[in-house]
Amino acid sequence: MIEFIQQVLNGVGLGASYALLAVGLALLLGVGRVGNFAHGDIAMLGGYALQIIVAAGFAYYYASIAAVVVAAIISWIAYHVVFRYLVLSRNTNVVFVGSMALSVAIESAALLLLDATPRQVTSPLAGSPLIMGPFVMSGPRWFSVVVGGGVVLALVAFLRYTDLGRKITAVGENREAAQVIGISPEHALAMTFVVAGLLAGVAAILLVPILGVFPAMGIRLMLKGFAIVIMGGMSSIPGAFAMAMLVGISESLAVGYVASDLGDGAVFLLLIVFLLLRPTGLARLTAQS
Amino acid sequence: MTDLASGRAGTVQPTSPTKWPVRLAVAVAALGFPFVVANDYQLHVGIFALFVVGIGIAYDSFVGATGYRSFAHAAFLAVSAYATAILSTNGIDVGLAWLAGVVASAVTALAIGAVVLRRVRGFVFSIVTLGFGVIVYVVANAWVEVTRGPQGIYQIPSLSIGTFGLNSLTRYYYAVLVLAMLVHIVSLLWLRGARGRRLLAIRENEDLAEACGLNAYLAKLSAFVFSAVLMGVMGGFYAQYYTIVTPDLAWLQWIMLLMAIVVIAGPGHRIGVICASLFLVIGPEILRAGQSFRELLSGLLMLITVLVSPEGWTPTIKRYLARRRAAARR
Repeated sequence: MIEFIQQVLNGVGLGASYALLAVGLALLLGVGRVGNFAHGDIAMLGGYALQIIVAAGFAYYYASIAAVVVAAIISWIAYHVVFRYLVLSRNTNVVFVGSMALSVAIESAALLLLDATPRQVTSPLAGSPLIMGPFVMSGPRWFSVVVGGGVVLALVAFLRYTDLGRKITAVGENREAAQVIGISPEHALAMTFVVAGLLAGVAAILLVPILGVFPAMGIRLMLKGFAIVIMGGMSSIPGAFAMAMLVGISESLAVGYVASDLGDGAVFLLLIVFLLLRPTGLARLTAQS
Repeated sequence: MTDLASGRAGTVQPTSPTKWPVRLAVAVAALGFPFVVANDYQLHVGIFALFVVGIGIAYDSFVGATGYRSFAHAAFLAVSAYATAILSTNGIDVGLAWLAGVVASAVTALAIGAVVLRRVRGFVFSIVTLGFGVIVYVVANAWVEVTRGPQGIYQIPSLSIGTFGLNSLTRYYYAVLVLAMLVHIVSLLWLRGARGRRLLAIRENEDLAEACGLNAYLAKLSAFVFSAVLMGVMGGFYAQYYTIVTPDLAWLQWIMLLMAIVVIAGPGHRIGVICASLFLVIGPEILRAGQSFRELLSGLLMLITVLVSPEGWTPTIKRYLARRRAAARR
């Protein structure tokens, strides 16, 4: 039982950073019907920014802030160079395939410029685990729960109480109506890309001390990220958050109890079970796409 | 995507008789290729290119016909190659093992299609099928007793009938040429007539097609299984030619290659699919490019295609040629 709870705690640590990625995906899907497969590669580039800045001798916290900003800028550039034109097709398939092409291009460019071996970043919290009775949470993991939870709450507050956040929400609810009252859907979508990039950057700085950073990281994260948003209801932020936790926990349990290389498969088994048991819940989603 | 305006189905276009000289030239080039190559390496590139043409056509007979972007097809390739490899290395006749590979691929497609095709559409379908690919990859890696895990299965025997065996590169070349032709012709025949038109109706507007009384689920499922059968035929060949099968076959580079072929050519445009397959294999070989560079190239090409000519290059080029011909006539 102690072992079980320990694995669940590990899963929560992973789930918090998955949640940040999944919430970014859900936001893009909700506001612009954009299924962005390159979202994980933006996180990957943020992770490399973190690693390079830390390797240059700066402290982890300063490097983290810089990495988050880098991720947001890259996401913003991706919108202006690629997605601005893709969304004109008004076809989610075209947008998705375009984002996949972008993802392949970014990953292979990263493989050519950097190399495939994972690079590690040591968190300053590596030596300060959180000990609760018989249970232990390593430094990077409790840090990611605290930061991940905090950032998601901040995002919800941003969407609800700020001017820009309300504009973004309005475009997501009804694009035409938002346009009628003078909100630019293009601007709202561009800002959504910036917000999603910030979230991806935070996810990167939390994940890199746990998993390391490597070029294929983006695609691996997106396999999970999309499974999470599909189960969570596509554009629903609470849904994405809950499912990210579930995925983090089940991955951690699969690794702990079955086999260490089963993590990726567990997520999709969960997705298939979901498809089989809740087809009505998913029917609502298919109407959106 | 709409060829409806011209009243033609994307996958079942009638052929014009003026194309025969071109066809003859292509046939002569394809048949004579082994006699003009300088070395075994070039012959190998030819075999690989024709193999990719085969899987490209197999993939397109689902994606081009229905408009659904499946990401499970690399998994079908892997399932069939693994079934062929596992059975033939355990003493079962290679021909039977190959057949079993095709059946395994079809059964996998039936199972996946039955779960997915009724429930999801659009890019959700893409993600869920991608998930099945990942599951096949994970199983191939983890089920060491059967698949030998990451190191894969090697020393796979190849087919021999009587005294004639697949034992030289030239023979492999002609075998894959026949297979690619077979896949092409069978898929054209299969998509001909009412069945092709039903799938076209689904591709253009699934809700409307269903409202007209068409069972979209069955039509999609049969197309899914059919293209998995073709994929399975090519997968069995893969196992025998390379004599080694590893889990990487189900991983992303293969499905990305298939995706790139169909996106660049335009789904349902057979000539384009063949040209794009040849181009994506032979182009990087001429440039002596490594794996990463090849992926960068196909990623960028795909991106440019989606941005500049979202329905693929074949219709764009065809329109351009038609305009030029019309201008010349004036």
